[in-house]
Amino acid sequence: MYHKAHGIIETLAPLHVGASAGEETGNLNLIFRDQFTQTGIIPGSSIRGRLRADMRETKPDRVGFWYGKEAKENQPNSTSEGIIKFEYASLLWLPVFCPDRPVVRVTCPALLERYQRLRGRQPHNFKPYSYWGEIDSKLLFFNLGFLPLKEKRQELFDEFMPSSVTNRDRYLLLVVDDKEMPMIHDMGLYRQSRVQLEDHRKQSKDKGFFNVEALPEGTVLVFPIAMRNKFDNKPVDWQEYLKEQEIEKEKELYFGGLESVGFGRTQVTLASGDQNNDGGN
Amino acid sequence: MMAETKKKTIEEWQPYELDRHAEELVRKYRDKKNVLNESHKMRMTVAYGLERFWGEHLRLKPKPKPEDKYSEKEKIDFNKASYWQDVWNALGEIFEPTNIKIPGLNMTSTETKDIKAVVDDLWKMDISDRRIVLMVLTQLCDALVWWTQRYKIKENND
Repeated sequence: MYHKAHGIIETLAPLHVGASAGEETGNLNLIFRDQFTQTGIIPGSSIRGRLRADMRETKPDRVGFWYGKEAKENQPNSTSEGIIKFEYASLLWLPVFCPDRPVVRVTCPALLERYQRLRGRQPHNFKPYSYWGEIDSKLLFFNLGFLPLKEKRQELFDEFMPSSVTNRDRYLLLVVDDKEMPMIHDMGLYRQSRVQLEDHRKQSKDKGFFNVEALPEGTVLVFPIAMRNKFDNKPVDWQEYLKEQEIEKEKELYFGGLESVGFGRTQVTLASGDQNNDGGN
Repeated sequence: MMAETKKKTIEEWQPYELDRHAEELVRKYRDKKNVLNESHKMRMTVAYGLERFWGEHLRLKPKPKPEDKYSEKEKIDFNKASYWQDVWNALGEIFEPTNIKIPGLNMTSTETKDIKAVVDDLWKMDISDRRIVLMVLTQLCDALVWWTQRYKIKENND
């Protein structure tokens, strides 16, 4: 029925996909979070919107075919179902500052499980404080607390660190408890205070001050893709989609807000089915 | 001030409880004259490293004598020095359950030989331990500044 694939997103700059325009939170612009792990996500609609907009530039006559036709005024039944479907991108690895390393890539069982599921693989159970990498002490110190390192697990790197990630073997990999992830995630976010100045004076405009949070550079996210195998009783080819979307290998794409001030640049890599995007072999 | 905790094995994430320490310290010195402004100086001093942070209380400490013999200024300086030392001791408490030892805890002496002993221990500290301790001290000072801005009494501070 469906051809399954998935995408890996690596952020090359801070990434801010907002949860609100800041009305509810005063001048703090929060990122969109998954309700269970409380970690940053990119909604499927943002991913689809970005790719569709790109195709509009290069192959405008094919957009309707892949992404569905839009409704036309006064024409019932003018819409059609899209062939390509995107789900939200969830966090896989979050780089967190650690005084002595200075970076540790952190994840938790719930996030690892989603990566397994979207590749159609069996659940793989990691206990909290499993790690991969070289250590010289069994305690790991962060900004706000410390934790014990327990089991060294090679497959954390072999099977869960996508091969497309830059310097994938450079930093320690660490699994923390699902219930600790929200706090450690918030400790690792990129935060900035921004101010809008008046046009002719170097003075802050009224209401022109706000704080923004973003996923830091070097964050790795994953999202599932499904493609209908048949449309109008004709088979649909995955390779053809990749060609028309011009994303045969990898592509630099921008997501979220504040693009003009250096946010949102990412590298996206697609992998088909349970095809291994996790290298190691 | 040191907690009477036994060494326990660390089984899960341990918060440093920076706000608990910071709130307690700021409250302790809240009613004393001209002491809380030191919080901001502490936050600046961490940039110069652990040794200088530790050494600062010695600059402030007046010559030892009975407390009723202190002049008004000496009293203020004495309180400032105690505040710096209490912050250092809180750092000792935070690291107590770990394998990192903070030198110079609860030191009251200003004798040269005692000072030398502490400084020797500071120089001997492992470079990675120093990085970690300095990071935590920086975060603790951030918390001290936050509580200072809430608790400060205008009349007590010039």
